[in-house]
Amino acid sequence: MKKYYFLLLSLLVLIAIQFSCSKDSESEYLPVSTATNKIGPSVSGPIVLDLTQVPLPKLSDYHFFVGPLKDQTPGYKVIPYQPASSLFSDYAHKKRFVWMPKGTKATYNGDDNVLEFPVGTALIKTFYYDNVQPANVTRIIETRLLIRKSDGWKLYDYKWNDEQTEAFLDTQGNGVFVPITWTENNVTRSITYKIPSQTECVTCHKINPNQTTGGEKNTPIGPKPQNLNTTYNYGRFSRNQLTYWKNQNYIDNTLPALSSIYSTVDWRDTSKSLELRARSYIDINCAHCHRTGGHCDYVAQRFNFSNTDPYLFGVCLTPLFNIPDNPYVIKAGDANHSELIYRISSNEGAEMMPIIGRTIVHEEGVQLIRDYINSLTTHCP
Amino acid sequence: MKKFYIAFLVFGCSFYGNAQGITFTPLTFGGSSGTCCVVDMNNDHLEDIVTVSSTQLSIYKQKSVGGFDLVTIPFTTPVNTPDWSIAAGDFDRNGYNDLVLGNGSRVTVLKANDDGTNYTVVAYPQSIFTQRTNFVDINNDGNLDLWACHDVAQSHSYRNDGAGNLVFDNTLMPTLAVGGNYQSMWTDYNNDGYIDMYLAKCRGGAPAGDSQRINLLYKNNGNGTFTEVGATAGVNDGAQSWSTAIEDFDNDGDLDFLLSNISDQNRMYRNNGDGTFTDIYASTGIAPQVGSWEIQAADFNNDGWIDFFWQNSKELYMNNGDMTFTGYDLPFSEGAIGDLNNDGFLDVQNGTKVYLNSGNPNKWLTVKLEGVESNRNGIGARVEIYGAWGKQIREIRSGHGFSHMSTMDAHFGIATASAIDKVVIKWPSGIVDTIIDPSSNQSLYVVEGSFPLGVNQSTRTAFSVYPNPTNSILNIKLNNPAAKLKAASIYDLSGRLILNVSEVNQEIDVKSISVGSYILIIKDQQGNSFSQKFIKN
Repeated sequence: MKKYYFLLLSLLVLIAIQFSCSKDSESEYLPVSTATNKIGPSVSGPIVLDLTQVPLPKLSDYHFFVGPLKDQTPGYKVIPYQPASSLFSDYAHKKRFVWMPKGTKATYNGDDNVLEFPVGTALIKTFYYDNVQPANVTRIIETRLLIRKSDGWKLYDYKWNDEQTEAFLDTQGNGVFVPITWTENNVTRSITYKIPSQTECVTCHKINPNQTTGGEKNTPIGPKPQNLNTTYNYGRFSRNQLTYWKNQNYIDNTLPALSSIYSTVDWRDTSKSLELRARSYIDINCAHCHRTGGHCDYVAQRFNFSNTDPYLFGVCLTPLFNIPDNPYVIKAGDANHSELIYRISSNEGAEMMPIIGRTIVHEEGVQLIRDYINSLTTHCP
Repeated sequence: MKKFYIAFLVFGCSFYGNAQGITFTPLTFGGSSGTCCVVDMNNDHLEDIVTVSSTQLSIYKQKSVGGFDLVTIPFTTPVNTPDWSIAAGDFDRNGYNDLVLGNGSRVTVLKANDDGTNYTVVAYPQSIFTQRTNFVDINNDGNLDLWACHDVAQSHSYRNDGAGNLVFDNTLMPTLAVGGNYQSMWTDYNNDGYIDMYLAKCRGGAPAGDSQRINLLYKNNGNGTFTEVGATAGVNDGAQSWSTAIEDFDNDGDLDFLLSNISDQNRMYRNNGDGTFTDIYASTGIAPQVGSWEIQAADFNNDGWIDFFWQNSKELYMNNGDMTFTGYDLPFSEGAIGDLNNDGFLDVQNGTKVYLNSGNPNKWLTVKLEGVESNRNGIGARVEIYGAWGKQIREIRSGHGFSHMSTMDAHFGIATASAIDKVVIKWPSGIVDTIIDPSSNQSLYVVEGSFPLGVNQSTRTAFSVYPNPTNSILNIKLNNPAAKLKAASIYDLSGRLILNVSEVNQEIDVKSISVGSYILIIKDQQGNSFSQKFIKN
């Protein structure tokens, strides 16, 4: 009998150690703000999400985070992640998290397709700016949730209050305009940030993968194996994200060897080739529409990273929509006469690309694509 | 050195379009717009240019001596710019055109105040990825409603409440509740006097045959409801479509549909006159290239046949008069059409330029409308001219092509014809005005109901009546005090004589006639006759 007590005690201690280990590692995740008088993260238990109640009225109702909500300190089994390259959203900073119900796992579905997530999965993405003027503070604007129900992905938006204590479900679905001024790298910018409407969410997040009648569905965009095959700093340690997800039982055994995954890179990483950086940038910024089944798939270019045919990528490809003096989507060696540069440099609503999600030009991104196009030695006829 | 001059000259010339005797000469007008708007904003019967930025409305008012005077109206808060479309119309009937701005997030209306010097910004809260917008009287109650195509969901209608407001109400015009709605063209395709709507549709990712990308034709049942008849009519094209030009390209008295598609093939749906259409694109001589999101049509060389321009490599196609077309290069491929130097030839504004049409010796007639019973712009009216050529028809519309707003004047070329037998205006109210034997090379200004009988009348309003509406008496106020009146008659709108008045130098007693709309015709002692509409209530 004594033995059993001892065994039970050992087991409890072991569980406690494991629990605190995982908690510790996650507590090292860098929170959004460095709030003064920050209390230490409380111990969080397993999250339970009743899908019949989703969407919940407040972000805190989900219990995805521990401690002050604005710190965005992830709770138990809420894993932060980051795609190799990020979509440009008017220079907003972003925190992304994934959570899956206990005992469920995602399945591999190709390097360039989003992981097949189990029902109940929540993808969480928080948009914020640092050094927001005039007070030079961090300000969280919105948190977007993609939650997979049995009939597909649902798209929800939570708008943060001015006190930064809570975010509330946008029940109107008409989008919200938020004027904001911030300073970054000694540049101060003022924009009217747009929290997307429901239809704007759908414009980018829909796909008809096999181009079939009735085949249109919502989908996440970033969490594809090609974008997660990178090392992420979890705080106390760094690890390949796919490996970590696998270790956390978030991906099943269908995941192939990491070395076999044709993977994007961080476009800011100058140790990588210009071509890989440019194509990675274009994939995450353009390919959710410009791929087969996407919103703009009736134009010929295929911007998904998995497309390795330069012509279909746009090199020497005549645009469907003619822009004067821009005879090719990408005029190799000549960025100034490439439709791609024209469109990503434009802020005209009917000309700019992407058509939604930004109001200003991503200067660094445009420079990258300029450099890439100018480096091409192909001669367009 | 000479060589360089020649090279420069050739280069300079290549900047001009030249087609069937006309050229377009670019002129910088001082503003810039990608979504273009040409419309008369100050009621001087000259077309103006409107540009809208997030911070201000700019109106380039055409001067009678040529050129433009700029008036700017700043906004107190930034507006959502007309990135996808713009349209104009006086929906609140205060005498000045209002504007609708089609933006990727919102629809915004700029509502002119009572003297057209300022505009109230009405931003609608509904999220909409706006495409084509139109002012149009959907329920034919005499007030302009607002229509807005939606890229990713069911399109929006905004009902005119008759009190100066447009109220979001999709029950006014419930179209197929899916996205992919790019351009709405409001047109009476079956000549039954009721305005129908053709919807160009496009949906990325959707396969051929998917309902999200099949063009639809909404036939007006004449009772406020519409029935979709695209398949029956034979215009249910399944290509990815962004816009359609609807004109009587063959001058046979009904409207043909020219589709500028961006996938598969373009179409020239010739109207068979029985509610059905036949695609004759293959025999038109128009290149098969697809990929134009815009198409604009008008008679540019005043030869009596409708031409068009778009964004394919031969930008301008001139109508040869036999349902074939000849392609020409232009330095522009889209924009708003209107007579921007008042010479009777249609010009085009796009970007920072006005492309002025050089014209030729051909004759022309421009008809400008003012509705009374119908909406003030006469949107939805049918204008017909008859002569040696037979018949030409135009429709008055707000919103042209995919994004732009062109003139609401009915513009006709008549080539070298010596006379115009008559102009017939069929208003949405059912009222018909007929002007017999108008002279050519003029702008004809027609107030609804002022030419009910086809008599030879002055085109100028010589007098006004008050009060109007009236329930007892009418006073006549002469605009020319020297005129001497002789007699007056009152007709109903179907032309029946209701009342003869012999004593016209005092108020006219109309207590005895029943409630309704009437035309008062006055003869002066020189034998001229004048007309004015009034309402008995």
